[in-house]
Amino acid sequence: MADERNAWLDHDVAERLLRGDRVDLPTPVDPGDFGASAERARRLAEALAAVRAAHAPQPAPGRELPGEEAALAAFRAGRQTAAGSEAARGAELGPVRLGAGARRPSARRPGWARGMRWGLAASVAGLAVGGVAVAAGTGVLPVLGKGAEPLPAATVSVEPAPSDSAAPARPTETGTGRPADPEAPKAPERRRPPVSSPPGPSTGSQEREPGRPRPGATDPADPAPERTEEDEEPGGTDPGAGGSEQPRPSVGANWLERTVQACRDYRSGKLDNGRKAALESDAQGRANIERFCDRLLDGPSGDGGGAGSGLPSSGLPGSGWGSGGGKGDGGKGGGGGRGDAPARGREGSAARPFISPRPAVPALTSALS
Amino acid sequence: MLGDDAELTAAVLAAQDGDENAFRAVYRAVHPRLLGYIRTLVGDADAEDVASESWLQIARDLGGFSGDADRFRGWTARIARNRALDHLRMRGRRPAIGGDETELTDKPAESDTADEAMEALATGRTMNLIAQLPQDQAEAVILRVVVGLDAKSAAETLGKRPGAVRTAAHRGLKRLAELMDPGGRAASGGVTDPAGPLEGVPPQRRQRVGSMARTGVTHWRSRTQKEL
Repeated sequence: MADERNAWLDHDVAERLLRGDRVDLPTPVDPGDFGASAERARRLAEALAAVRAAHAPQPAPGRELPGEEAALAAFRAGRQTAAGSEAARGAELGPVRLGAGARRPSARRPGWARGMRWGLAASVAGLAVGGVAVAAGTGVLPVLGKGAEPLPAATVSVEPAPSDSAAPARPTETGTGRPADPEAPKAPERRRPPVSSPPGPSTGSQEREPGRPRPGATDPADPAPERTEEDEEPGGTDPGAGGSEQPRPSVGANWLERTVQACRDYRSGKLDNGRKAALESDAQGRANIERFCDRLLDGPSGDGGGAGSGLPSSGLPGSGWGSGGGKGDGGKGGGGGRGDAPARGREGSAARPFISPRPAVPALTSALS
Repeated sequence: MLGDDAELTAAVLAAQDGDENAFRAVYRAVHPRLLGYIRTLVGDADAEDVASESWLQIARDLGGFSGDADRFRGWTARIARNRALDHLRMRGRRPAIGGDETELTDKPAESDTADEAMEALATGRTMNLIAQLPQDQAEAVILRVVVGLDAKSAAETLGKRPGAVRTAAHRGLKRLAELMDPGGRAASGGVTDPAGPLEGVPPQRRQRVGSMARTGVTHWRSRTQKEL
């Protein structure tokens, strides 16, 4: 086959040719080659270089090109539209750009479409997660079954949304008051033990009540507020012995708090590897952690810190959801479906559909604490 | 190239902020290669129209883009590709490249010097050869060489795995090398002519002159920078 003539053209040489790098062939193995390979290589390289050069732009500033004015007109029109709709947008996170910090106000202008996309994505994701929640609630999903042993942090960080949305299936319990609320940041470790045990409904309450002090005791950090929240849960929600406690919503609530705390620690440089791995998986990649944390911590405060979405589809907190579908509307199955709205009227305002929307209630010291 | 990338990255950012001069700079930096790519897809006649449509979308969606120069080139190429394919689809046509029936028309562009004319001729010939490759190979080569994308951006533009695009590009080059070998020596099994083809401008092996492309006529007119 004719290939033998171009045996010199291996993957390395091909890649160099495509990049436009200089190609130096090794001494031909075949003594009968007589430099023919080198000659072919040279010719091919020249041909490609000519093609490359023929399409090269002029050096800056260059002269006006055909079609430039039309494109510029479209550019202007696009900016006017974007500026006009800027006011219409709700809390929107500025699009991520290089050096986004200083430019955020103006960079936000053309980004309204992104806000809407996030909202749509959030709605779709929310519906999907709601489905998972129902499945989990009915015991279909083995993963969210009655495991009582603590789950590793990495696993837990993925759980929050589905486990959180499982809450509505149990009207009695609503996220044991672990509001993923950066307004009241708490040590994330604290959340783990309660988070890690998502038992079934039947066992939930029994374990929770006595279990509560346990996690509170084992976690030295902020035991009081934790117990406070936990205990006010049953007080508010479970008329009985805390019926079917939901450790699952607490998973969700914990997740956001924990992740927020992880971000803070990451920023201050004292993030241990375990939580870092969890943060990585949330942010979908080590390189994204910074951006993820920026959004998580610096997002619009209107959403109370944004519904940290445990959804793998977007490693971003749902601050953009403020403009989307996540305004704590019960329609999401994750938001308002939480049992007792009256007990915490604040819930409606927190636009976090999948994490327990109950904001921190440090003022509500439960009698149990 | 590094300096060009940094400049383009900065220009994109400034344009996103509303700087019109920056947008012009972006246009001038990107359009020539983009147009070259579009021409390989839809042919010369419609290339300008498709390019205009592409820039409308680019300008409209500019705010939603984030990334560096490489990504930007890939992003604009993707937009151009979609517009081109839509254009073809609406007319029931197929891409200009990848067809055996592509008409080879070497019309040297108006050029000032004989050198430029020769160069244009050579470029046109090479493009004609590339146009004879299977479409996936031709596109992979064109995105790398004409548009100047790196392997990663080329894959993203095509929506394929990087490995697949790399393989296609390498095969394309291989075939291109074979096509470029002058004289009908394809059948020269193991014997290599030591004299070798050392002419300055390699003659074509096979001229498919006069055959009409099934999508319409594709004239590849070599263009020099002056035209662009």
